[in-house]
Amino acid sequence: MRTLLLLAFAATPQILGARSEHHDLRVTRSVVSWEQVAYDVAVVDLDSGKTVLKSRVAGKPAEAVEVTGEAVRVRLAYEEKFFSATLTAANDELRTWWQLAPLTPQVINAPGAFRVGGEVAPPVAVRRVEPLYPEAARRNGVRGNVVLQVLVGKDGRVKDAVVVQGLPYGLGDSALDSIRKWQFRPATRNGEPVDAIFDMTFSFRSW
Amino acid sequence: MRTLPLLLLFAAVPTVAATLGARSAHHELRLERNAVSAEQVAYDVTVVNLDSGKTVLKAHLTGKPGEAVEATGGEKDRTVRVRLAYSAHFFSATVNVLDGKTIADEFRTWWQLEARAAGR
Repeated sequence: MRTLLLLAFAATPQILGARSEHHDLRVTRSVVSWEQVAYDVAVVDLDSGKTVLKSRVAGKPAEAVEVTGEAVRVRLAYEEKFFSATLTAANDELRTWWQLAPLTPQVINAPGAFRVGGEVAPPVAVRRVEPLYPEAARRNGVRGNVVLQVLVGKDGRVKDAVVVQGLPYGLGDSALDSIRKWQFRPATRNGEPVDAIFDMTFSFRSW
Repeated sequence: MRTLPLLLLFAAVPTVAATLGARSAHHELRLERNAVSAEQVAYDVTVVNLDSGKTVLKAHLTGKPGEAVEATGGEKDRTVRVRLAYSAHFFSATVNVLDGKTIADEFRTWWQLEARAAGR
C-alpha cells in the first residue's frame, strides 16, 4: 500500500513558475518519498536568453533549500499550507507562493448565533489588541489581508474565530491571537444582546 | 506622501509594456503591465486553465499608479479572480480559483519594481 502511494506521489510532479521582465523561473517539485522532496530549478535570463541556473536539489518535506548560480539565487521554502520560491539577482527580485493543495475554509458552527446584518446590529469593539507581525513574515515581505470569521457572545467576549482567508508566515495565527484578546459591546437584535457571527479583516502592511 | 514616490517612479518609467507571469500546477497567469502615462497604468490579464487548456479569464484593466485593480472570470462553477496591487517596492498579482467555498488554487507573485539596495 505504501509503495503504491509513493508511486502515486512520484507520478505527479508539480510544475511551477514565475517570470519577471528579466528572468524566467521554473520549479518542478516532486515528492519522492515521505522523507524527500526533489526540485528541478531552472532560471533563464530573458535579456541574454541564457540559462543561468539549472540544478536538481532535494530536501526533507517542509525544509527550505537554496540554490545559487553565477548571478542568481533561488530559495525554496514552506510555511503552513504554502510553498514559496524567491529569486534574487543583481537587477531583479521576484517571489511567488503557491497553495499546495485545495483548501476549504473553516466555518464556525454555532446554532443559535445570528449573522450580522439586517436587523442584527454588529458588535462594537471596546478593546483592541493589534496583531503582532511575525519576524518571518516581515523578513519575507508578506503583506495583505487575513479574513477571520468571528463569533462574539452576548457577553461581548470572542467565543470562537477561524481563518477564512489566510496568509503565510504565521499571519493567520497572529490575527487569531489578536482577536481572541478583543472585547466587544455585543451585537443586538431588537435591542437585545445576541451571539453573532461576522467577518473581520486584518490588513498586514510591511513594505 | 506615500503616493509621491510611486508617482515619481511611474513618471520615470518609459511607456514600454512589461511582460510578467506566474504558473501553478493548474493555472497560468500572463500579465502585460504598461505605464501609459504618469496617471495611468494599463494591464492585460490572461489566466489559462492548464488542465483544460482553456482561457478562463481575459481582461484589460486600467488604474492609477499604485492603485489596486481586480478582474473576475470563471468557467462552470469556478470563479477565477486576479488582484493586482502595489506596495512601496513591489507589484503583486494574486490568483484565486474558487470552487464553491473551496479554494481550488491560489498563488501570489511579487515583482520588484526597480533595483534597490539589499535590505530595503
